[in-house]
Amino acid sequence: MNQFGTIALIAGLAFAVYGAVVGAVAGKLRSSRMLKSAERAVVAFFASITLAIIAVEYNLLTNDFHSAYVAEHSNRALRLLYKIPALWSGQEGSLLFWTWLLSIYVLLAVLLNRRKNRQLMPYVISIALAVGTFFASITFFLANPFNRLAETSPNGLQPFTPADGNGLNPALQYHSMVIHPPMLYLGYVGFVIPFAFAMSALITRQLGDNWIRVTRRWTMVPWMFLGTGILLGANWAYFVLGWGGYWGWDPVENASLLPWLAATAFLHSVMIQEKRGMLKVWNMVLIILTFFLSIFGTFLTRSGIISSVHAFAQSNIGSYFSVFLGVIAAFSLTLLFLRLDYLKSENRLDSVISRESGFLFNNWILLAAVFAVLWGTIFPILSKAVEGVTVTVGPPFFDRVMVPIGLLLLLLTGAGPLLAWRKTSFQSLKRNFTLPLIVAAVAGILLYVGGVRKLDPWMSLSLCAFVAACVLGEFYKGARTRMKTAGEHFIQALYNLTMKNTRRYGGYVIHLGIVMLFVGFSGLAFKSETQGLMRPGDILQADGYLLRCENITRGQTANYKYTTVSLSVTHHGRAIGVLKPQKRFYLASQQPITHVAVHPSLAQDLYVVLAGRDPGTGKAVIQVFINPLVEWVWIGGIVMFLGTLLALVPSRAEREIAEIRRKKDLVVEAERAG
Amino acid sequence: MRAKHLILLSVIGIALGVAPAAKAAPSSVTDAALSPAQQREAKAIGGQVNCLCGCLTTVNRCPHLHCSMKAQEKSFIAADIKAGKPPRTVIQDLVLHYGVKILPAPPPRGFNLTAWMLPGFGLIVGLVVAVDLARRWRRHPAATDGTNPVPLDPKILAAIEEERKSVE
Repeated sequence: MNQFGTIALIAGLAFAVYGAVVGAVAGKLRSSRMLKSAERAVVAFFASITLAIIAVEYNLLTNDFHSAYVAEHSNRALRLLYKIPALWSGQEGSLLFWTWLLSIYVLLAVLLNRRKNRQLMPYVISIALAVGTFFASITFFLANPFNRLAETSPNGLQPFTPADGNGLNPALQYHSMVIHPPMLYLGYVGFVIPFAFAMSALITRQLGDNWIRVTRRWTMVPWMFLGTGILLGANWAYFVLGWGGYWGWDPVENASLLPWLAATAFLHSVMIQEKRGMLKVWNMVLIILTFFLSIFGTFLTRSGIISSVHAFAQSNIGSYFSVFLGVIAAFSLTLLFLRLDYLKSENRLDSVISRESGFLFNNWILLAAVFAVLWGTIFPILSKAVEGVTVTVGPPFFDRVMVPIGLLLLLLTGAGPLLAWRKTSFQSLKRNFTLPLIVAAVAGILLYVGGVRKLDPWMSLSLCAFVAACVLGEFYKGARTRMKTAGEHFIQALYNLTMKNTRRYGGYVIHLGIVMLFVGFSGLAFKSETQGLMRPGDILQADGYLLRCENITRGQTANYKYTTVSLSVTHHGRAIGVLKPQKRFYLASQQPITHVAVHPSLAQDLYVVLAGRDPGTGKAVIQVFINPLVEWVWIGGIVMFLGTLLALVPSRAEREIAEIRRKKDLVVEAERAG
Repeated sequence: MRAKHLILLSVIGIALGVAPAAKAAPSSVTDAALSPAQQREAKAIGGQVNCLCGCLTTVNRCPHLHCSMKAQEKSFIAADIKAGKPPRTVIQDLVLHYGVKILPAPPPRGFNLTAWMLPGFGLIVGLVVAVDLARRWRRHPAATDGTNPVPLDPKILAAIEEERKSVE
């Protein structure tokens, strides 16, 4: 199967090169025949890389330890559930997986644009497959998952097959790890398509509304996947790493946040271009930045230039990525510079207090966030270069810098949608902001009286109340208008209102999700921690919870040894169940891993960790964290995901316009044909 | 050549003599030797310094079961506290012993000050640029307000004309 996979990978690489070249030539010569050929190359690229993926999975599922990748990342005792995701657990497999996802995205772009955007498509294919060529080359030449194991003998190198593999990293043997990396990669990889459309629009000078309209959806999809992937990663950290938190400002976590923030800025500023024909250059810069940062994130993860708990082993592919990043920046910025004359604003700003300026300030905050995160992430490298001293830039730095930025962003999340396009009158400001401000003030007083005295969480929760009132107020006002004009009842009016403008109300749902995220973040300020040594019969007290150690069991599966502590828990005298924190020791990799036990609730999580065994007393070391409001982070993530799906659904008006366009295209095509 | 060898030997000798003093393994004082108040103090300090085993978290949060680095740092902290040193001095001792990387954020001194200053500076510069941009947009009419049309590529003009004809 290794030979089969190698051939498939070579074929994929060849088709990517062919498609990239033929696509560019098709664009230059405006040849529909060559465009067809480039499109076929996309299908062939997808098919070849799919076969290569099948080959790796076959090797993993059949325990072919002759394959170096399988021997390194799997073993016989590994559960089937984790054998499949072992594909993306190592450098080689994950790069192949990256290439495969890219091939799917390009294939979808081709399929969905068979009758549309025909002038853009040759260059879209060319640019996307040029990126595919880079990744397929790196996979084939530098990180090949089909390399075989060999050992030196007197007769030279001889094939070698170990009896068993090293096993999958224990930290990855967790259910959210099965979908976290694919989600993250779907995000990273997906930004290739909007970038390719943007570059194609620049090359062909088709810089009207069309590329923006097309690109917006192609940006929302990876944005949704990346956001979901980031939160799934946070969820994994929370349940597996056992330190009581979910976000540690690790460089690799930061690397995933960077393109997400840049894409968020793009998704907002794109509306100004659609509505008012402004910020055309800026939108190009943002889409270039988003794609650049998505590759930069991959570079950070794989180059080994920064220490991270998530990073792949240090390898020589980092330098190739840095060259690739240089090529992307040089190519896209040169092209942008050459087309500046085509990107002039069509309108002017009528008032500083308007939706347009709201978006402008939103972009300012988001870009400041990108800069702050990037600066903190790369600062250890700069410090080492300048002073020769290694420093750590960890949570205290990011908390100090990012909290004010986050609060400003939260404020705009609520205020922005209430500003009118072109100009917002004082009356309109008064009408729209009075109730949210009253709600925020009441919430602030209640929080203070309720004991929230720390400034950051107090401000954050008060602003959450403000934003929720703003957003829910928009739903209410819209529904009430429909109730009056169309005579619908409230639920029906709410449904019709939403479906009439899915993009707007989907956006509002996303903003509600953001509010929930900030509620969850605010809870971090009130977390508490208790630790105790326990043996059966012992009781540990933690903030109103009583944990009684019932028993300690030890056992072994084919994959790991484990110790489980059963703790019956009561909260203010009320029994809430039995929690079973576990410590596992994986046999193949000889690594321990924690499986925390959590009793979740909307108010607070009871989070229990079996930290180990006290060498002096032999008792179990139990850490108990009370984590307020954490569940709102996960709920906020789900709400954001659903909101994005809603915004992706074409509204009735959009469907009607699309139908008219489709009919017009058919008429034009029929007239041309005959 | 001989002089060089002598210097090298002296340096090695001094290094061998001094290194154990500078990088001496901390005494094996454990938390158990501390009073409950001192233990709380040690715990607070453990939350303010990194574990240097590579876990990229603080000493308190290091997830490794038998982490020798964590144990060494905890022992160092316990020994200092037992000696009656205030938390600030304990952290200074830790920095002297392990280097500045033990701190979870760079100290705001020298070049490291830029780490703290630049995000705020960037925020202010961004604000100035955004306000200036908004002002200029208000003052100047847009490029396509009739007087200054965006130049169009002749090829595109030809394509538009062709499309117009085909629709007609």
